[in-house]
Amino acid sequence: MTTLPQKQTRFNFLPEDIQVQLNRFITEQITRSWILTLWVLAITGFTLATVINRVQAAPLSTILVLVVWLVTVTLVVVNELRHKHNALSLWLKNNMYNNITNAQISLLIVLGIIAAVFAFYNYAWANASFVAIPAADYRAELISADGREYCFTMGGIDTAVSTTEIVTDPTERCFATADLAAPPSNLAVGQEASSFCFDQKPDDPENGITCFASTAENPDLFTVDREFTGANWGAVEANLVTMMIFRFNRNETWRIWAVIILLAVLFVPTTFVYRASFKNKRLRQLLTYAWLASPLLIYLFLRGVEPVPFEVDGFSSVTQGIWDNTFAWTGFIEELEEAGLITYVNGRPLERVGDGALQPISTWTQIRATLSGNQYLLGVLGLLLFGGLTLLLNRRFPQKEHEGELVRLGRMVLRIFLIITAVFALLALLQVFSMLIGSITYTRELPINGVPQEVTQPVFSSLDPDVNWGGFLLTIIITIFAIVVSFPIGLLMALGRRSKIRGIPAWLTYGAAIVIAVVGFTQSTPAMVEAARSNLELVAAYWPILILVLAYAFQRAFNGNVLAAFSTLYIEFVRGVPLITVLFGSIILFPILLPPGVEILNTWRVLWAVALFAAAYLAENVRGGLQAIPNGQYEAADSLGFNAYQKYRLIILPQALRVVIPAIVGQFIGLFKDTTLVAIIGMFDVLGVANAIAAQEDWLGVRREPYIFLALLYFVGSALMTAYSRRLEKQTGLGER
Amino acid sequence: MSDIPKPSLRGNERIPPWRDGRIIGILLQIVFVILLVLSLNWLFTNIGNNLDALGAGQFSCKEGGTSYRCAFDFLSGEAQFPISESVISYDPNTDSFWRAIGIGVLNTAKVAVFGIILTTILGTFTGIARLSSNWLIRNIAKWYIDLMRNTPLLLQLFFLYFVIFLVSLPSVNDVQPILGLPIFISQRGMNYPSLVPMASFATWAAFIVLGIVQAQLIWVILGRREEQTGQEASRGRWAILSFLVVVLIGWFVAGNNADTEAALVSRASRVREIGDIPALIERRLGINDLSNIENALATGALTPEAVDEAALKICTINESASEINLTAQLRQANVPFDVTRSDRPDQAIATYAEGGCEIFVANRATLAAERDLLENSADQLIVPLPETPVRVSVPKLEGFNFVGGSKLTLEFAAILLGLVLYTGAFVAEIVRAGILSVSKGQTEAARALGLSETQRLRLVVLPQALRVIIPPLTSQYLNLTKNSSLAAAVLFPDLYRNINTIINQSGRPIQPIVIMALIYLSISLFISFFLNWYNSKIALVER
Repeated sequence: MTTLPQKQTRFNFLPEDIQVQLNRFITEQITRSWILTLWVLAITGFTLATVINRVQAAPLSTILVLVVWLVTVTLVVVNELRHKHNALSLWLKNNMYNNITNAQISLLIVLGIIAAVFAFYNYAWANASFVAIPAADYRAELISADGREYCFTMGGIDTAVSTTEIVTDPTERCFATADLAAPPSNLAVGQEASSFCFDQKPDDPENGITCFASTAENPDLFTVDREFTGANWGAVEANLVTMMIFRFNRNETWRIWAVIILLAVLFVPTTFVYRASFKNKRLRQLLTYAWLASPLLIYLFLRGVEPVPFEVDGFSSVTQGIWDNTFAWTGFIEELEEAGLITYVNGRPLERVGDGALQPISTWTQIRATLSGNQYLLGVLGLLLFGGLTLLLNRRFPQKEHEGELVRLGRMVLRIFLIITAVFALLALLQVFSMLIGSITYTRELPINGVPQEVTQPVFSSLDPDVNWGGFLLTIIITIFAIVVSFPIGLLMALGRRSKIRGIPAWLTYGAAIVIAVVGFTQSTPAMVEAARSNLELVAAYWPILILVLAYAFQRAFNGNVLAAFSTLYIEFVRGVPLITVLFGSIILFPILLPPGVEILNTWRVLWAVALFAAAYLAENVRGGLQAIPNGQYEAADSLGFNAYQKYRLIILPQALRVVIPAIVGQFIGLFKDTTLVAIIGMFDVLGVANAIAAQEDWLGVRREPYIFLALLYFVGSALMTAYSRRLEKQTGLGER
Repeated sequence: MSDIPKPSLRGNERIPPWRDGRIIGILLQIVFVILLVLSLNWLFTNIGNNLDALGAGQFSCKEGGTSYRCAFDFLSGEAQFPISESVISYDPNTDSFWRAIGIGVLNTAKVAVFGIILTTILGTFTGIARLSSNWLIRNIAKWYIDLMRNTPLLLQLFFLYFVIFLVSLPSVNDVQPILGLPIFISQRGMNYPSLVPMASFATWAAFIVLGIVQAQLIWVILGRREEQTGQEASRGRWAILSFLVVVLIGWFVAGNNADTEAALVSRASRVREIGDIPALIERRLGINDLSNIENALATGALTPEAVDEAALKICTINESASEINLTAQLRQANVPFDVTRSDRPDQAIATYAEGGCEIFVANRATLAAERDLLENSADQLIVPLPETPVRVSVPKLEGFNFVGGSKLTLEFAAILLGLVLYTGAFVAEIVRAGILSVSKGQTEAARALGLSETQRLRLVVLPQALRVIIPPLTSQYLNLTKNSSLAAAVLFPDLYRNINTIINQSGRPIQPIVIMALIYLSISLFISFFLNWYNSKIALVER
């Protein structure tokens, strides 16, 4: 290679080593092995054939693409020969044209993409109809033989309307009349059709637009100009509200808007309040409390409270009602009577036991009745009592570092009772709160049976979830409920699985197992062996052996740690079965597992099933994160004297959760998509609603467009969640040292 | 220094048990176990009460009475509901619920096995495409993966089945063979030719086993020679060659020695062996060569009715291998034929005797027995039917159904395609992550050592990439197996759907659900057990 500068004159533009380059190109790319030669020939032939085919089918676009391709290939080749690439040709060379095969494949792919784009454009726009009229009508555009515009009146043939009457209401729409004997299913262009409708056309008396009740009046007048063979987007438009909220009470849709506004109001500050640079701690705390309180508000909006069981007539009656329903001492005999547990025989109350016999009331029943009838009052009273005692104890024995054992025992016992009564008091508070909320009413005009009437109803009137929660609303509710509920449960399961607490000592486990086994052997095995009808039942008769084996396995695998055993078994069991099984089981088994008479709505069964299912998967993800924390962190926390709660809250979980953010968000996206499974068991989430739409008479068989809309919806939702996760990763500094 | 306060906790002070954390922990665990047992007891009591209310003897015994022992007795009763496709035979009137459950398990296994194989292939290709040097291929793969991962699987299944399959496929009468091959894709599924084993298949299978054993022997022997001499002995090629030779020999040996099937013809037809049949038909049609039939039909020299009339009429017993044997040979010779099937040999021989057909193919023993029952048995000849170990069975449209060949139902195709497309996207990401996890230095070192591209991939990149790929890959396999339960949405009779039907048919909700949960649990545990074993085998051993 010469060191003198190249003279780039017009006649000397060929680089010196062009021969070498060409030789090398041919050897490497074509003749290196006979397989390669065959392959290059084959693909060149295929490309030629495809190009010729496409030129015949869509000449303009194909020639355009071909020209662009040739120009770019020439550009890259020339620059390569000259060893001087600019940015564009370098990118092209590396990404599309780096060898013969790639260059041709690029051409084929671009041609394919253009064909697909054209086909999709035709389907989704050019041939699509945007008329929100049910599919029972025919999607066609009509022209009249005399060139004038016609429109049709709504409804069937209104024989009262004469054919020459001009309709002045521009909102009238058209649809096919009902008296057509055999409507054609496919209208061909140019074919005479006797009844159809077309896009809403405004009437125009000045221009002589006349309206007919039906084209049957003038069958010769109309021909089909164009059929809408593409997408039926009108189906999506007409059913949009249905897909969003399905059977939600249409008089109460303000609640959904209220929830959306609430979430928006909370969301806007969230974007900047939780950054490290935000200094106002009080505002951050306020926002956190608002977020913690929001589920309650959302529940009130979407579910409401049960109707208040008293006449609302001012504040005094409200307080009376609260007292009657929450705190009044109902008396234990009436309580039992209501429960059907007590009957009066000869004036004496007797209790009915399991197999129908009657016996005098047992102490346990009395205790139960007392507690169940008055838990709220007991709770509040107990709170006052134990709170007072605690205060007294603290006054008499102020907290010191070394106290007598009795004082410590007293403090601990009081604390336990305080917590128990506080729970009941909290329930009482909730009951009072819900009654107060339920007593707020307002008056408005509602159409009842078509007639508008003045109705006074509670603001947060109760909405039955089974009926009202449907469509996309149900999807969002299931997703958010599952995410919110599965997080703490999954966290606890993960921590429990990894817990190293001291388990039940071996002597206790084995001792209990041996006792049970011996009792079983003596009591139940002989009878079962005698009644055995097959070998399987014979083996099953020796179930005490299984008890011993289980005890041994439990001790061996978990060291007697019940927490770890329970968490592990729960996680592995739930992860081993499909979600559809869990959902199906919850719907079928719930009524059987609960006492007779106790009902749980279908919606709640499904919500809890999905939440518990998600908790198991979340537990595994969090466990992965916990394993990634080096042991030194745990040890340092212990050495600083943190208790378990402080250790996990301040040191371990912030690191662990940050590491598994991608996995967790992936899990939540999966949850969002898995909510569609409730459509199989008969609940109406957005996919179930789409199927129900396609089963209606009006929109029979129209599935494609709703499904495409749903796919878009899910795509956008998942993309939003993924984008948020990436932002979260960046915010929490994932991957930075 | 001297006024460090003394530690306040004296040496052997014992913590009183009521506030000793460890003892409280153990006590709480015992309380937890007791609560668990009590709540289980409560649950079972509730189950008992509720089932009594349901009535209908949930635990009724086969021999009468009720007992918890007889919880699963009802599963031996007749199923009485149809199952649209099954690997093993199934008769709703005689087969039990257990068999229906077994069919569900087999169908799920079928979907899982094919799904795992296909998704691995698709995922690997897509993952590699994601790393291609071509920008277009990279981005198309990316869009495919994003689309599949962000839309729900159930939506994809519904779209595939209800929008694409049921609507866009032609009806049975309009369907055309694909590319000239006898493969028919219609609304009834995909019918394609299949291989049917004949009676001599057992002999041939023995030869195949012999071939495998012998190939192993050659592999080992040549391997030893390679070690001793240090020279490449291309043992792979020799092993495969010897295997093929043995298999080929076995083919001819098994075929020629087989003599189980025969054909019954009348002496008057002048057919002494199967090879005489083409000449017979040629004489009937008046043409020289049977391969000219299409031309003759096209030019009008022959009418379709004449061809139908001259076709060979065959009687055979339903679902017999001899029909496939004969028709495969006739197809090869271009002979037109028409088959009449009967359920039993005596029906077939009656048709033959009436003249409804001119040749009756069946087992040689059956033919001999039936021929003796005929009046003019002396006029009937038994002609041997040559066979090969396997024959090709080709689907043919008769009436509204295809006869012969194998069928792939739309439902199976829908669930398989949906699952493979969906899971393949996840596998692609896993493969991509695995290949990217191998550091570039490895590639550079391999190239510096002079390894070819194939060797680099096979010896350096893949083993390291596999270590990263296998754990999430196996969990995707688990997901695929569990997602196969969505087959109920496309009406494929997998385990979940059959259990659902059983619950509805028998009115007993608990037992089938328990069985279904146990089956899915054991499948998952089995796969994850295998995963853990394989993982520990290939895991990096660290100090």
